[in-house]
Amino acid sequence: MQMKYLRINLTQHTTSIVPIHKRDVERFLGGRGIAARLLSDHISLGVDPLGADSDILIATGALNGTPAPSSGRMSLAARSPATGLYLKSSVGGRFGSRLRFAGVDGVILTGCSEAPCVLVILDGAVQFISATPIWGSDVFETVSWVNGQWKGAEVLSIGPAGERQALMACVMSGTFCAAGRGGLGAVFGAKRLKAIVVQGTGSVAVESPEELMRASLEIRRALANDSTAQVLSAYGTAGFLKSTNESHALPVDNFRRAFIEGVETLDGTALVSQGYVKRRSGCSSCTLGCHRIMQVNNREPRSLSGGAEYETMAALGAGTGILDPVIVLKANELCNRYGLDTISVGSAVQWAMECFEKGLLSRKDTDGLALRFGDSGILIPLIEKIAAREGIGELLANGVRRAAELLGDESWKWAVEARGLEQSRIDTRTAKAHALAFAVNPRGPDHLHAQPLAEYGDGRGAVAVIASVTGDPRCADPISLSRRAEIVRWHEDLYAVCDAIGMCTFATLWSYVVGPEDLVRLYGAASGQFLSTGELLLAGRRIVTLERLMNVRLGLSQRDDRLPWRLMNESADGALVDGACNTEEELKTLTSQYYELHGWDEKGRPTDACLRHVGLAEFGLGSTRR
Amino acid sequence: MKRLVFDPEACILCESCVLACSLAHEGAVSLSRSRIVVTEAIHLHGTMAHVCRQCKDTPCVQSCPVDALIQDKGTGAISVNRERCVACGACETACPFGGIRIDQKRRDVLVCDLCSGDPRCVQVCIPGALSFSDKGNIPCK
Repeated sequence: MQMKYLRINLTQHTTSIVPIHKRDVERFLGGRGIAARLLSDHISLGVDPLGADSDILIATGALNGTPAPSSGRMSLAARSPATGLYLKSSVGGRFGSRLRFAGVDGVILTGCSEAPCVLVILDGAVQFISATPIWGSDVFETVSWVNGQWKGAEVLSIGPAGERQALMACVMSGTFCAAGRGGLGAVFGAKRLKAIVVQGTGSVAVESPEELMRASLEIRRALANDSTAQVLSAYGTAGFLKSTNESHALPVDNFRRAFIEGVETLDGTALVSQGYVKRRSGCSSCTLGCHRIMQVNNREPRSLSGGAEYETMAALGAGTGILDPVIVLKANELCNRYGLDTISVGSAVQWAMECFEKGLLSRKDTDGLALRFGDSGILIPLIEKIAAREGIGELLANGVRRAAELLGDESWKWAVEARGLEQSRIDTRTAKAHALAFAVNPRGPDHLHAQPLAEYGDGRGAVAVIASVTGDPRCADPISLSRRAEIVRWHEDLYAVCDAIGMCTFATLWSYVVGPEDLVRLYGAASGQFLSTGELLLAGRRIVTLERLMNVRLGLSQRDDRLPWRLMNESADGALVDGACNTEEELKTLTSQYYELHGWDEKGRPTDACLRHVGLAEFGLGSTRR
Repeated sequence: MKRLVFDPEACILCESCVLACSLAHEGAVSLSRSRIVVTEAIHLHGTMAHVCRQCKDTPCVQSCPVDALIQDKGTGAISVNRERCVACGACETACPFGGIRIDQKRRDVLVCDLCSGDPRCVQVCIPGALSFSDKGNIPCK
């Protein structure tokens, strides 16, 4: 399998072709793997994430553009302006497949455009176009402008939040899919890159078409028959909101509570029954189709938005106590339009509410808004202010860590972030594998690098995974501290493989119907590179290890492998287990076991022996390679 | 006669049918080489599939100036005599449904051949937007 990247210099407005070495394709597979490999030559403490010398990688998955099931995801990578660390953010939609049809496997963006610009990639040829007509436009307007000029094109773009370099700004794929976390939108904004448009009329080669079709059909059918996948299809990720609440594991009121009465109104089932789901929408080649287009047109405020995901409904709705779906869907639309990460925005709103409650913020700081838990009147104006960076919005736009630094006092204690990234809506205090996975996640406490859902033991597939990884099905217990390192590492390995080949982890690591052996088949049929499941998972570990190495180079050590202060020091009311916390001691135990399993030293640095084992010997910290 | 029947309500625009069709016919995946095209009808408001409907009055066959198109009497599928076809585009213009297309780059005609009675697009369409059935309410003569 040959891969070709485009290096696009935004300062010079020049492009060149970068062939990817065959050995790197074999070792890193594609997508997130190739992104990590290419960025590893460049990323360093000297690179300002928002400066002209930072690079952004856009890397298609190795299966993007093929009929392999749920194979529409691609990865973006850069040094995060929010965390200062390595950032991978993956996104669905159709951009990845279109890029491959345009004959390009990925893009390396360097430099910084003098004037706002749009990149147009038509069958591999790049044009630089002035973004003046759409600078300041929201994402919906931008997509519509693009569609008016390039029919059927796909687009990545930022909204006003990214233009203003808000550190919670995301990059949107199409109208409704987001590479949300870590502030990539701000990096685009700093480069004055408004959008990338792609059209492709070429083809994507497949090594064994018949086998790929056979494997795809079998896996699609298996997914269609799985009950978890069926919930995802019917109700989206928001279909798990009510059950998470019923398990007393839903972060509410800035992680002070684990349950809220009346959350059913925001659950995926209610969104369907209330008629807010306009239609389902599948990413490229995904017949699971968990994404949906939401429309409210019978009540004010009317809205049109994508998702609406569990994380969004939990962060903007349940967590803020705002349980009116019409308000939360409007908030979701505004985040889509302005290009804001819904998790970070929800977290910032809840942090501000708590500051208001504790008297650190008053009406004169909030432009007259009384930021009270459950007040549905404040959510929309707050989001408007964040996107515009006006008043209180200026304080919140860079995330809760920076907001707490500015506000001072003890407000950092309820800034629910680690490393500068707001935590996803999982209560890690009662999910110990998640606690470890979040603590060691290269980009911060978030679910999209390894989401070890199997620890809950929901369903036969999950229990089978735990049994095979740990040797003991009783380890499928979220409160248990036993064998968490093994569980996390297996999920990490497979997650990295999925990101590399472009498979959605909702198909693999949620229902657990699709396993490593299926990915081996799909990847082998598409690429001609037939790996054993062990080799495949080792490729995943290689990617995880290289990402860790980059972070170590950027100054990360074991003291950064932690969770937000609140989760380590305070328990949640109404939690599944009374008094549950992710204590210092607990995290120390979990991370030490995890380092040992990986072959990293006590400071969490990959040892030479580990690097040799995963095939990264030349990347060692002591090597001449930067 | 069995036809490809499309349910716009069930389609989620994942393009699985398009990807599978081109792979099955070309051995490589390509949007521009698929015999079926699925589009958003009006921005976000619905979906449309453009694929051969095996019409009885065959405007494509009738319009062909070089007699390169033939309809199979049993299945209704249109086949192309590639030696005769000059890719003039008359069939594309004549078809009211966008069911037959010219690939301008390769100068040839793309039309559904029903995959010998087991269409790949239907196989991959788990949401059930496509079916191969004689019970469709497709407007065609």
